[in-house]
Amino acid sequence: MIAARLLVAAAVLAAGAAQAQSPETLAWLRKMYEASQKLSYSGTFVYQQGARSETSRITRYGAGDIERLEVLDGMPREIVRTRDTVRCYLPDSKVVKVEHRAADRTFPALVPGEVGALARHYDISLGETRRVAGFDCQAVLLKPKDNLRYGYRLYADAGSGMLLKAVTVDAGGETIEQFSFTQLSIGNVTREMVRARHSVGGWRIDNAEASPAHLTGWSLNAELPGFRKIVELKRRLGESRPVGQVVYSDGLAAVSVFIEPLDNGRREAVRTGLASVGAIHIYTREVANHMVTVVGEAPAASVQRIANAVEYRETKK
Amino acid sequence: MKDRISALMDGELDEREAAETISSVANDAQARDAWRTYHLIGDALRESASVVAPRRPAANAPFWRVALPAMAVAAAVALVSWVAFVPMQNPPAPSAPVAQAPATVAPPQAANDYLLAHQGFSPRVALQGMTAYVRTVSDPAEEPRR
Repeated sequence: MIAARLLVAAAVLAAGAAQAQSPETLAWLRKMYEASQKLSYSGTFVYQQGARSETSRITRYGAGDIERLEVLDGMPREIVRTRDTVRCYLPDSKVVKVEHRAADRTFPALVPGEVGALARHYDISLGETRRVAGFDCQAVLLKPKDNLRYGYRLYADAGSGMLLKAVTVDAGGETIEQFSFTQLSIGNVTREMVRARHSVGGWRIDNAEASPAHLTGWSLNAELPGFRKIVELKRRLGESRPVGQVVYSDGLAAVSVFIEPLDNGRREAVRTGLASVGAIHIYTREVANHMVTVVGEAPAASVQRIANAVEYRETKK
Repeated sequence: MKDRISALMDGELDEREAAETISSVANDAQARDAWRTYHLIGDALRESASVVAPRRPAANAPFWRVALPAMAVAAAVALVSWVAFVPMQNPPAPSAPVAQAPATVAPPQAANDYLLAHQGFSPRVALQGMTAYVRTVSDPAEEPRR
């Protein structure tokens, strides 16, 4: 008797909820992820933060898993990502920065199966349908369950799943930053289209070697709820400074903690304080004769909380 | 109507009543509000319960409260509320101490190095590809900072 009633209740709830939640909504996130891994496309998008906007062109060659991004306003800065490396070409300073991707491939990211874990920190639902750059898009809304993270409105092409517009919003619903395609064509990309346009003869090459490592003595005395440590590295940064990097993520937002030794010459460089680039906050402070820089796409208070939790303890040998 | 929705959530309606209530939830904004509110209340109750007890549903809890988390695990699905992306009507729960506003400084000179090093680990890149990297190459000198 009771069982029958409960079954009805369950069926009823499933029916009532299907419209807004769960399998379908999460399937959209998976679809976006797969589209970003598989498709070939070429398009123009606008990045907006505050009063500032910048137009870039992005091309992805699916067969070789190569992507090329070129800033169309101002200096033609360029990034080419292959399976193994990310090369960042800065023509103004004649520098090419090379990141090796061996380490980040171990990162689970948004692989199917992990997507469900996002629902621990975000209420995920389907929103409106709307056209973006001529494509009929479905909105997927991620509303944070606390004020430690931002919310997102993601618009994906109903056909391909390609993410055409991503809006980051704060707790008050105000837009923090936005990526939006203004033109996109899917398919018809050749290898030639993702080749770097800069030749780097005479340029300085900053080679950022990185390898997984344990940063002895360093830890957070309080973790930020929902943010798990996903990787810990020793690496080179900039021209070749040795730096430790620890990355924490809640599945969608990530926060990196950089730890670098201070020699006497650089002591003055540490200016405790908060800076921001779009939705990314950067907080710097000094800990145990090291400069600690925390970088993350999270509200200022979250980035600062992680920075203030960084501590060094002499280890007993 | 509110009583009906409450009864629906507790599994106290028969099939016909339930179907009627569901269709009103689907078609009536007011009913949807009530549905949403009850879920928020339910979520809040569960949250406060989890502070004192591990997240194990009570044996006598209504079936759906037990069943949904279980299904969530099975199908990599979790209970998500109906809340649309609107500015919050209620003040957010004070889950984090409000930090003192720190001194605002210009991004460090090496900001792009940090961004580039960080970006590779951002799940955002898995979702939207390289577009997220634009922050790394956007030209900080383009506009004077205020």
